[in-house]
Amino acid sequence: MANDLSLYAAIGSGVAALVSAWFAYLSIRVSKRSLCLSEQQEERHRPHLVPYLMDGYVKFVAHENLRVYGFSLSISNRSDVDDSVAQIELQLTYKAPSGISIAVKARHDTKLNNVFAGGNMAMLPIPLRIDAHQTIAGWVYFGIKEELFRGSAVDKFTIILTDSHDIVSTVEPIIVRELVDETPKS
Amino acid sequence: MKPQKARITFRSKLEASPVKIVWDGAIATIGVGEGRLIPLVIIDGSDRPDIEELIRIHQYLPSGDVESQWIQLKGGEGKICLRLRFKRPVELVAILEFDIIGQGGLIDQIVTAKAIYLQAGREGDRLATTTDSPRMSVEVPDTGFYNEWNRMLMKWTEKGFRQRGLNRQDAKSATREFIEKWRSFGRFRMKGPQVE
Repeated sequence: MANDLSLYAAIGSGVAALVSAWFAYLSIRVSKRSLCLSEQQEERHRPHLVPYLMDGYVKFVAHENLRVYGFSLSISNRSDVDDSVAQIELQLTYKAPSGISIAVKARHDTKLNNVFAGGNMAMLPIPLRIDAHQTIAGWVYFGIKEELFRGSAVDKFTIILTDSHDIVSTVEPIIVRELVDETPKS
Repeated sequence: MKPQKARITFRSKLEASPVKIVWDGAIATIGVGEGRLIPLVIIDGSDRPDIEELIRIHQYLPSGDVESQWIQLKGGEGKICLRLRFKRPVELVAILEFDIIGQGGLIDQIVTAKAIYLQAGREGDRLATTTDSPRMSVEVPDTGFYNEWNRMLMKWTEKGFRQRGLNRQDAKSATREFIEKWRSFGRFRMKGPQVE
């Protein structure tokens, strides 16, 4: 009789252990899913600007010997927090006469708005506030003196956006069309 | 601030090596740095064409951004370096190495004027023969180095005088006199026309 009781007790404890192991397994799964959700939520709180390039032109201002680049950009804030663009720069990579590759940065110059379409295009001001899950679009302009290149061709363009948290996002224009008398050459 | 040991990483071996200085001097200009006497170094552009290009293009662009730091390289006893990390318009690092005994006055002038002019050139170039060459001014703010520099300047100038045969006492007083005279000369300011 005593033996039977201990056997039942042992079986009962074994079943209880199995049930608690099952519940432990279930709670691990639930915790993993909630951790994953919190991480996703945290990720959405991280500032994240995504630039998209819609168009790019270059125009030569002969009397100032200036090359003005104009890019139409849209910037989306995909995070759950408001953000702002602190700086927009154009990085031009060219080969100097000595053979070395130089990447020079020029800042978005709001004064160049009049160079394209008589200043009638919506320009992005700096600093630029972008609320959470919002998209803003407009033109950015960069002026570079022709003497800077000394006849060298630009190998690569990169538009660099720096937000108020010093997080950098980039977009690389491949084809920049030359604009003559407001008519694209190509 | 006490000097601290740190490991600095560079993008290339070229950037990690000190730039060759071929000449140094100073310029005072009305309207620049309130007429202060700002030191100028001519660096050898054949070794660092990237710095030469930076100085050239700087004249066509608005002011850029640069971070400066005084460092002493491993095994560089008696020498001090100014590490300039340019962020805009071009990203690059330049290390200017100075000999404390031979160029102590120049370093002191950079520390007190809080600025330096960089000009690219070749061996044998002088400011007088390259007045039209492009040059760029770089701000060197005090990052807590001034007190440490005073200590180093005293130590190494005194050492220099002792090497020239002065005894300890005379070397100490000569050091004090030299630094005082040098700094009074360095305080020179170019004054513009007075408006009545």
